[in-house]
Amino acid sequence: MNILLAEDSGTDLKIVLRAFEKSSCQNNIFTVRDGQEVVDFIWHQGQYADKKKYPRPNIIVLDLNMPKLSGFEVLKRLKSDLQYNFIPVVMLTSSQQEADIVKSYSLGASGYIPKPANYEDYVKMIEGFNCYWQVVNQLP
Amino acid sequence: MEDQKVIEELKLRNKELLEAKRAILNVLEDLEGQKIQLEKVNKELDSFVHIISHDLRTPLRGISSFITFLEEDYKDKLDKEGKEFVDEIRNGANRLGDLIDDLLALSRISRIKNPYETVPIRNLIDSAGESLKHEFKVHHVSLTIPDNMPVIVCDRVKMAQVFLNLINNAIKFSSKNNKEHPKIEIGFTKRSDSVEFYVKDNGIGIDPQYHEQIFGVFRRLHTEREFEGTGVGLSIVKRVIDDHGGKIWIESQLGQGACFHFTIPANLRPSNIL
Repeated sequence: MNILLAEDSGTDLKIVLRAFEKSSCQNNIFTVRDGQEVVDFIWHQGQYADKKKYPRPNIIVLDLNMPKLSGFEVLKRLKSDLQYNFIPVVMLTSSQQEADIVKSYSLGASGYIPKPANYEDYVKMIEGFNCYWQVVNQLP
Repeated sequence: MEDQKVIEELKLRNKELLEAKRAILNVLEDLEGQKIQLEKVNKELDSFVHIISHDLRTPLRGISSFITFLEEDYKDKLDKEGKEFVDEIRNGANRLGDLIDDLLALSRISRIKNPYETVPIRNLIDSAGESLKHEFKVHHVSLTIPDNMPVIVCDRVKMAQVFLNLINNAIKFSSKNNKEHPKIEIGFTKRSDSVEFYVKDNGIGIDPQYHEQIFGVFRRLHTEREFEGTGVGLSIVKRVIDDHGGKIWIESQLGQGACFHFTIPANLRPSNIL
């Protein structure tokens, strides 16, 4: 499964990547560090122009608070584009505010995961994530 | 002549009364302004605590995760002292995590208003018992509750937190009683204007000089090693009782257990549900 992971915090990125590595499922993970990079990656702009090297992801894991373009702005752009609006987007964020959860789903998010408190919980979360998206669920 | 004097006197009194009334109205207006201002500041403070608590989680997640990486990747390279340092960092991170959780719980209690509804108190105690099942088993806790616990109008979610915190507190402070297992008794008295509840334990008790302090945020009377916890549980309880317009107090002597009493007014009505 090709996953595009958008995370601006270097610390959180290392934690989530390590948790993915520990998981029993194999994933091909591409990482970007801000909202604009997500847009560039999906629409093959700038440094992500090479379609072979940067294939369309099966799923996008999106942080909410990111520089340049926020998770909400990225979600809005993605879901208003008929070419890419079918790609599931799962929010992975520190915010547990009800307003953020509601807004994410109303903008078309397929899931909302609060960032776990520690690495051990990240590992459990990634196991559950893989189980749902790779085993239970059928992706486009 | 005499009548004229009385009329003049009355006019003067009337003028004085009008001035006094005006002064009182001005004071009331000032008080109302101060109240609005205080409510605004309180709201801002709660929101500040909420945001800060969330922001603190991000670096904490890094600390506790990287400690795990250190343990996993460099386990063989750390000597005994190095491992002790790692344990200390982990304990500190866990403690900070508990503090943040409790700060968030405290800010949630203030920010979120749930509707008042008719609640059988027995259900809340049963659900607290379910949450504390492990503690009950480990410490061989005996809990006594009368069969006829009342049904009251309150915020169900917050009142459940009150019973959970008080029972948890009772277990914690009676678990180190060397003479007997923890005994908790819950009871109530119906009064004309309120219902008074109590949660009694056979724990270590509290010296009367500290009875006021224990409801303050992060107030602890013991070290973390003696009794774990951050000191937020009872402040949450007090906030909930205050919000309901009730009162809370403690009766206790050092070494003789503690009994927490609280009242919930009888005149509360269920919120309108559309």
